Amino acid sequence: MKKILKTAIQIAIIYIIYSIGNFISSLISNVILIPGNIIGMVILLLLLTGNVLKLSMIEDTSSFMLKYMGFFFVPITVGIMESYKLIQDSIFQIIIILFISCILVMYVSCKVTDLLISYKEKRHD
Amino acid sequence: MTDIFSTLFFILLTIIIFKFSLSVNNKFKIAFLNPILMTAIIIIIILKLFNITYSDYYKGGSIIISALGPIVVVLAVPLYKNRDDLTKNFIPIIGGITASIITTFVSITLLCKLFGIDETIFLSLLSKSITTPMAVESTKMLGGNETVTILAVMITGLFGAALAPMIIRIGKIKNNIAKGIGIGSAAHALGTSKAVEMNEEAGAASGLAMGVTGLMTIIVIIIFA
Repeated sequence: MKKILKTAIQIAIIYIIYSIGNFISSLISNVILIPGNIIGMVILLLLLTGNVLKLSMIEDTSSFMLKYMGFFFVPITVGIMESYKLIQDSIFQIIIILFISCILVMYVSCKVTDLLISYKEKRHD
Repeated sequence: MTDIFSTLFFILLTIIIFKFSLSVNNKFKIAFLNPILMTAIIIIIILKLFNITYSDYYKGGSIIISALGPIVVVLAVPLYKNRDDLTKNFIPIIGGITASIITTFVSITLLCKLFGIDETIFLSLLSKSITTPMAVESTKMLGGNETVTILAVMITGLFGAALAPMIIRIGKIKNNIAKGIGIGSAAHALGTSKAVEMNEEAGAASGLAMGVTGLMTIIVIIIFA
């Protein structure tokens, strides 16, 4: 019973932060679009860094959510069965383009970061 | 009443099939047996077999999707735990993300030219590496088609999550922050779900990269569009 209550409180804290993020997002949407969940992420980070919120207050629920994060993408992926019709004519070309581009982008980004970090560490030694 | 029943049924069905896909994935460890894609394919087959429309499934699906917002918020936790390592590597991180955005724009432009893709679709693919709400906004500014963008973001995320272990192995990427930055900046939240699985530091870097890449892409588009 105590555990259920604890989980409910943790979910509530996360949800409130998410809602505040959405609210701020809609306030500034005329200037720049930043999704509410990204703003919520920044808010939670600030609360943790500022010691307003203790990590233990949300840790159990957040590690559970992160562990099964992939699950929550399933329904959107199922949605492809409807939306693929829009690009039916060039679907194979688009898939090949996205495939090649994804490999290039991930490789270049990993490699550049890796090289810059090792360069920095060498200079420090 | 039947509505509540079918909503619960589709949520339960998704959970059970996902559990099954996870165990298959743990046994065989094949990149393209990605549990997300595998679950989706099994569900699509079931829907087709029983003549169920996507909008029926969506009644349950939308409840699962609605949890995605709070999950991105929770990415602040690994970010917080690894804050020292991340701030220490501020310049490499920004460098890696900048390289990622340039590679996206250049590769999409060249590949679309090569395959003779029409202008509207080309514009819709430029924001494929960033998280859906930001990608949709970028496409609006560029004058592309939003649905095509959502589809491209989805496909990119699936590719990113499936290919990440291979790219890291072949590219001989040792540093966990570098792994996370590459995954998050190339394949947004879906890729991040893979980075979180690898280790906490990579997950933190990926969550950070996802937010910063989206923001920087939008700013670049505002300046140049």
